[in-house]
Amino acid sequence: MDRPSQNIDDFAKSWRDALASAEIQPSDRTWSAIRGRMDAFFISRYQLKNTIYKWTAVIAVIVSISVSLPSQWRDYLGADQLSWSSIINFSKDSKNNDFRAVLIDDDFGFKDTPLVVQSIGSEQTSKSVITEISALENRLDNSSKMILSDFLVKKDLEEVAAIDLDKEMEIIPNFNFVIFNTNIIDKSTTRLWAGINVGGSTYDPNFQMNQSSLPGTGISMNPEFMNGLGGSVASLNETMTAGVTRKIEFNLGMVVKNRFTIEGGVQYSQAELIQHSNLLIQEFYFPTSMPIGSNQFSDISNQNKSKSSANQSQYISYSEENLAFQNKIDFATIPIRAGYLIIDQKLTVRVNAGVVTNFYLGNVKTDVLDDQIFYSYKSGDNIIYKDISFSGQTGFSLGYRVLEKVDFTLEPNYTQSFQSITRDFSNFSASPNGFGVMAGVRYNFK
Amino acid sequence: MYDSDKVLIKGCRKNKSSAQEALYAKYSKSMFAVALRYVKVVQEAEDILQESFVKVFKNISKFRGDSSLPYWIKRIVVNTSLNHQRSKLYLYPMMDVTDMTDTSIDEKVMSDFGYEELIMMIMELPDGCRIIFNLHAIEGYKHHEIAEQLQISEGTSKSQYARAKKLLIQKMEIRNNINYG
Repeated sequence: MDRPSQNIDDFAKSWRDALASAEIQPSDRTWSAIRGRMDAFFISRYQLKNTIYKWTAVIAVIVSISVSLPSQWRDYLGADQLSWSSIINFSKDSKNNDFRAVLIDDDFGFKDTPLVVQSIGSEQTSKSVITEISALENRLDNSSKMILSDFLVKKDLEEVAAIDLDKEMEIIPNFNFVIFNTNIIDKSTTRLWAGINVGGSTYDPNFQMNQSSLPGTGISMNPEFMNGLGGSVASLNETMTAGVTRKIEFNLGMVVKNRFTIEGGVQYSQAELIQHSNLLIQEFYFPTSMPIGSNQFSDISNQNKSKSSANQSQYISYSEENLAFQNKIDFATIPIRAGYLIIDQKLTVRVNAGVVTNFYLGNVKTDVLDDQIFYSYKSGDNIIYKDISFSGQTGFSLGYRVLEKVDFTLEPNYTQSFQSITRDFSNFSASPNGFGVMAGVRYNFK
Repeated sequence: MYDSDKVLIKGCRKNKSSAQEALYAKYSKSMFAVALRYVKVVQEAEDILQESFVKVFKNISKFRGDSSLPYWIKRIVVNTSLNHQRSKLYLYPMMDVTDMTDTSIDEKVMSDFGYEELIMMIMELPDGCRIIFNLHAIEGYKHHEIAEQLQISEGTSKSQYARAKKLLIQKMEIRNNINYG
């Protein structure tokens, strides 16, 4: 039904011509309703971003925990321990070499399945070793273990581990994930790294209105904006809805002892959220003439008459203004995090917790749909936000070695403000929290 | 600032509220007149206008410029109006209206009425024939196209149009008698 027909009767043509230029003014509230729906549409995009950040963080945490727990059993093997995966990998790597393996299942749950493999020197027999080891591994549950008394005699034993052939070795069951078993990073105690991360997080301001009053209004609104309202603000109700934060961070870190790490850095973050302000605007005026019984102000929603002088009446009208702003708050932050390395191989998984110091830089309130600035403040002005506030942060840091000294990193985290980011005299308080994800690269100096 | 449709579209694509407001100011009056023709009460037309402009702003990136901007917006308003009225059409299926003699009206009589009054007359029509009258007489769609769109027979469309025509002529005659005594 895209093409209008040209073959119509005269009656229809008369009507069409008569209505061709018809224009009727809709009521003002139609535009207000459209504007409100477009604001809501814009806000829904925040909510989508918010959901994405939250679920990415949750998935990353689940992955971190999932890969960390089983790897606990094979990472950092003791001097008298070997992992199944190292046996299998060594067997695979050494299939053309002459080596001997004797696995003795003594009193460790394998009485019914003795396995002794000796003097294996060809590709064919080494395959059988692998098969049998795999078969044995399948029977091995996490609570079982066995003793290896004479293992993998080979010219270059150091490729596997420095094994004392006279010593009994405990074999630790594990999962055979390649990423955990190759390219083991140097485990020297002093290690340094520098990283750069970008990312974001949800930003739930946990907004609470302390009061609905004029003093609060005077603080949160700038004078130019107030002038534009055409009156004074009698009361104010504000809410802030959840938004997002964008971040970029440079950090330095080091292993301080065994698996314990410390990391610090500097971060720029911009919180972006929607603020709804409901204003009751009060306007005083002195009508030049007022006929008795006149109803000329009936369109004013609420009106009071107050006595101002003997001869002239002062009138007050009230009107309501609903505004939605995009509030962007800039912070420079310094995170200090202590960490513990759960996995430290080609894949590294570290759990972190620390304190973040937030330095308020400024905030800008703009129109929700475009960049028209309503007002902006910088640090140092008499603004409602504290210059310095503190947050706690916890999370995981996943790293995967992609180059010789370079890791790709993914860091899900949760941040909770310890206190309100607003000053005591503000008419609202906000203690933000949020789930976030940072991604970046890390250069390992040593 | 937004002196041409091209600039308006560009601004709306960037989600600039000033551009959206300018576009609304430019076309809301003519589109409100369109929406009014499809409904019985003004409130419904405002709801349709609201819904239509929200669709326009959300989908402005899909406007390729094959047709003019007002025509594209009008199509959205008409489709929104039809969707709005569809439930009524299903509730009260349109039946063939028989015994409709062809009537005509002098063009001079038409000129006696302002478009507000003409729209009022259309608004007073029963739901089914109001929609078909709008689609056929004003928007210029053929009966078989209307039948396809509204899932009715072509005969139903024709007879409902004839009924609308008769009712409108009656309304004009009554109003003329009132106007001129």
